[in-house]
Amino acid sequence: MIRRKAAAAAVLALSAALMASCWDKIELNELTLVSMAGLDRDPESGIYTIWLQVINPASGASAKGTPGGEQSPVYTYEASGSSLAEAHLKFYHLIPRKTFIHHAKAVLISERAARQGMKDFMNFSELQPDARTSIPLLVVEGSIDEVMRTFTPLERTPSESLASRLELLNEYALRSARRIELRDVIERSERDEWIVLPIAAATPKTGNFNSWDSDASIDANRNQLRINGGAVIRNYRMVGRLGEDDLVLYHLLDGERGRFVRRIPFRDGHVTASLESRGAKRRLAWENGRPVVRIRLRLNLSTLAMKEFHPQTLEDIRELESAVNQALAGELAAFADRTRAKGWDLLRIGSLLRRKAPKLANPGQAAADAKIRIEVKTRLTGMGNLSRLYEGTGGTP
Amino acid sequence: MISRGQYYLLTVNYTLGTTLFVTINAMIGEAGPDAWMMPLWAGITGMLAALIWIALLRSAPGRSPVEIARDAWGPAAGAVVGILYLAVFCVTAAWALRNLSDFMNMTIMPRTPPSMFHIMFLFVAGYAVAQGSETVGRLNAVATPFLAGPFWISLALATADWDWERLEPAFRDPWAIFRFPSHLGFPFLEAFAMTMLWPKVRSGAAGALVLGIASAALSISLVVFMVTGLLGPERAARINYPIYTVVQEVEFGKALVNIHSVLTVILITLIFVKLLVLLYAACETISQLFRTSSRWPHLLALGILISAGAVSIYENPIQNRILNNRYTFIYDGFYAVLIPALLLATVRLRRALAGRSRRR
Repeated sequence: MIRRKAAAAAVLALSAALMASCWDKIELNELTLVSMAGLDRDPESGIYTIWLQVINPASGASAKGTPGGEQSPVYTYEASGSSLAEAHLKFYHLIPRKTFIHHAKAVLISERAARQGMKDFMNFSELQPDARTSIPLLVVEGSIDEVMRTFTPLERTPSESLASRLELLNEYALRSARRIELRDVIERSERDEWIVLPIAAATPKTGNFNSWDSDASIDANRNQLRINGGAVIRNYRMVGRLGEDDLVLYHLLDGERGRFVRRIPFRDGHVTASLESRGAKRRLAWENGRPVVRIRLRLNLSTLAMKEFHPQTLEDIRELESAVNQALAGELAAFADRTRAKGWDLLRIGSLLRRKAPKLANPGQAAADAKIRIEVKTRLTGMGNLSRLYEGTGGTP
Repeated sequence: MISRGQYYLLTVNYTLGTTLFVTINAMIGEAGPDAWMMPLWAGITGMLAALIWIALLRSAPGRSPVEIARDAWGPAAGAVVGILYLAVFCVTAAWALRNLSDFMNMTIMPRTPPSMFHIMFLFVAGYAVAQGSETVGRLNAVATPFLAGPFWISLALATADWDWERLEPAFRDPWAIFRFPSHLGFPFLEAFAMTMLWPKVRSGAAGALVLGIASAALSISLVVFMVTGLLGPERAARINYPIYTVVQEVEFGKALVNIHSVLTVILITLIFVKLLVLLYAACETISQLFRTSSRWPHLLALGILISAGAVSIYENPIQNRILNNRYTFIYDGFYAVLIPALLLATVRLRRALAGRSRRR
């Protein structure tokens, strides 16, 4: 019995050798948390440049006035090399800690690198066991170096600010999407589908912009980052841009859910409709051997933003709903035609055909020939705080 | 004596063991969105093979395949078969251990020497095996709820990213498995090691064995299905450990972002169960072959053999995949189908001959 107990104790004691602390221990003090990464490749020399924006552990909101309180909340390091791995190693010339990239919140890539193609970056990122590809990817317009060295007001780190804005833009403006992560770029590119990524840029600078001082300025439109427009990506390569209005239409057709506002022609003038997308369903049908894609969108309408008109009768409601249906279907069809004329398959019809009709001989040609029918179904479900509008004569309706 | 329920759970966990590590991406790479059907067909093959084992074991109640071989083919040929099975169990155990250390080194513990995993797992498994079959069965029965619960919960948490489009075009290639017969061998034919525990199970273990293989096949199929729907066939076929990546990408609100360490613990415990059964089978084979009385010296020797095998069985995971694709079906088919079938034929033939001579 004693021998058995001794053996059990020995087994338990020796199992400690398996614990992470023996070989793979990681002290928090020996790590640096990367909050944002920037990527660039010079098309002429082929030199890769990586920026890492890391969190300064000594800074904090409560630390103002104490030692470290005036320090920058993040530090940006830059390294280049003829391959991504070499550039990454060069950080140890600059950073005294092991980089921990699992908690990064955003990855930025310069427009020129995106236009050359991002496959190298994606492969490198997926090869690393400690990296995640479930992080939003943004294309940077203008100098990525400047963007990586720009603070953002309110949030402690620029990456948090960007990630939060992307969420808000998706939920309240439909100008961003949920599927904008590195893994989505990989998946869609591998399936030969198109994807649109958000574009970030630095806003005009004043004062000593390379320091925290600019934070003392009241004008928050300057000296910070701005998300603006969408980069159209196909096969890991940026091929064009979408404007803000088109971005909403694209996200609607792509089935994103979120709210947005649109001016709709109604009776003799316009009304401002506050709309919420409830997703899009796509059906494939055939007419005389030609594919027909029916895209059916469901929208919720609210009078929240409608300062011009307030429906009172059932007829008003139906009329309003059909006005929204018609106007949006028209805009969406125009958008679809416009982008398809450029050869962009933003509606992912080629992929729909490959999935639903895998025996098709030439899916690319069939996708180009496909007819698209867009149906919008709107239902008035929400109301603002008024049940009747004020009717004075001052001001435009 | 272990109960039928414990035997069932052992069969399920044994079969899941390394499968969740190594074959998921290969299956998805071969059959695309229809890969989830492959484990089902493979499971049916495994169940058919299990019927042969059951017929064999039922012909001699209370005897293990090693003893049956000696009874049927005599001491010399019986010893050859016994040593063959000993080698099979040791090689499979070494293989499982190496799969485990590969996974750990590649994901969360890159600097821990692989032999450390091998030796420590063998040490703990050896201690459990020395306690006998009851300990093995009970240990696994106690651990199972803690494995199955968190495993399916963490996969369920990941379903926020679910997309049915990833599973289309569906039903294009349901018979893909017959182009890749290696999946018919691994993992279901490896469940042959479970027959060494058979004499220790209370009567009626046949249902537990077949049901165990069926449950494992369903679980693997469901895992492949979920991995395809969550990662898409393109990524799932390329990523080394797709389940790990699925859970790694789970973001449950802003607080729970690192639940993949939970998954790691579950996966390595499943491999531990596999090792436990194989070590038990190897140890039992030795004591039945040579009728020994003590266990510790053999366990020590087995430990040294298996840990040495684990570092030398292949050089890198690429070799592992090639080995798997080329040879597992022939290898597994030889010891898990051919030999048991021949044994069964001999036993039946002898009985028939004996019956005829008695009647005369």
